[in-house]
Amino acid sequence: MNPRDSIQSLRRKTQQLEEEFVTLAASTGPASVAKALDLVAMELHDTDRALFEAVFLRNDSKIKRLIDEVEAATKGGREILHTLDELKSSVDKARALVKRATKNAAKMKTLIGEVDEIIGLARGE
Amino acid sequence: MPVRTRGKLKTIIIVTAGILLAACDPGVYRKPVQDFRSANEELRRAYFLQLEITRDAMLTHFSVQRKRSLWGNPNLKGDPEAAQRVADAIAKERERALLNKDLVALRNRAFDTIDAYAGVLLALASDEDTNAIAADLQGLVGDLQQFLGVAKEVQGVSDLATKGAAWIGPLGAAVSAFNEIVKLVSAVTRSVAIRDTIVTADPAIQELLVVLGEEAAYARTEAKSKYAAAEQALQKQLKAGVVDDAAAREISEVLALVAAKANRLEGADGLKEVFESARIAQAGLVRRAAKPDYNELLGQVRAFKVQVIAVRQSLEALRDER
Repeated sequence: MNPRDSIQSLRRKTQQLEEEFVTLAASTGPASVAKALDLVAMELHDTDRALFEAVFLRNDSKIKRLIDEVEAATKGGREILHTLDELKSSVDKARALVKRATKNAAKMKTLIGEVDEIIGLARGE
Repeated sequence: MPVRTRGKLKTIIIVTAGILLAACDPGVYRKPVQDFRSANEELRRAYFLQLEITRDAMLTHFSVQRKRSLWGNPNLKGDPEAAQRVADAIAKERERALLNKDLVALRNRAFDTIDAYAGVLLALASDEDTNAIAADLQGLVGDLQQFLGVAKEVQGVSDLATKGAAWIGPLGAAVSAFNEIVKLVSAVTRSVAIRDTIVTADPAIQELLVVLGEEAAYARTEAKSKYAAAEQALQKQLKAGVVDDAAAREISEVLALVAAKANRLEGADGLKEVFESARIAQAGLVRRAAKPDYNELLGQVRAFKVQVIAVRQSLEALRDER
């Protein structure tokens, strides 16, 4: 019997027992006895829920492994995207460098123009 | 290199690139992968909606079981302590999640991983990066022209700037050709990466969809089983006897409510089929990667998307009617 069938078999038994306790509590009987029977039925209900959850818990290691496998499979693609990003970033840096150089050259041009003017004034031109 | 030869070389590169691009255009994956990705989101919502409905079915059954002693045991009639105990137990159960948060987080991670897989494929299928690089390279030539235009008026560097300006023409042509090469290399590389990613990830994606689909089907069976058990318990109580007419009326009302929920769940579209069609859509991606048949692939992915939306909507309707 596979684990899931075992769990289902256990659940059936637990549910049958729970039903019997509830039926007893719902028939004639002193209040204290009905209360005790219902408490047992609720314990059995909790057990049944834990068994329901166990089916999901049992899949956890498989899901984790599969997640790792999918992530590993996308690694190559992610590296290519990263390379394209880097290439774009390199061109962006080159553009920034040229723009800075242009700005500096423009400042130099202005400075040289002012020096020429001062020299011209000094010469009385 | 003479200008005419350069021109010919550029033409050859552009024509070759065009032919190769048509043969391995990663863009053909864009639409099916987009559809696969959005359908995965619908699948996630449908999966968790199913868990919510199963939780409701469990709570319904639990409430019925707790109230049976109040309805059927004459010694509990009018017992405020017993009524309070039942109300407290139901309130506590209402606060309880169906699965613990670690289990839920891992399932969300599984859907996130499928989404990230589709996201990588989509990014590879997009030529935004390549176009941005091409635009930046053209921009770089313009920036250099501006720089040289200013630099040639500056003493000391004007000779150098004149030499540089002479290079701008050839540089512009080279950049155009280089852009075509970037596009070609990028397209080929991205196509190969898409195919590799799809084929390598396929077994794990398929298995993940099977596991999640089985869990959703299990939760659905559980919901049906709990609604059915609640109906049976109510009918059993009516037959076994009740303490008064008020209890009989309440049981009949709850019975009608539970039967309606059970019928609606029975009529809702099947989750298992949706997960199966997700697997078929993924298999379509694999076939596309191996041997292109775009229309077939697009059809499969669209069919999957339509089906998953139908299931999500029917589950939402169930949840909203609760």
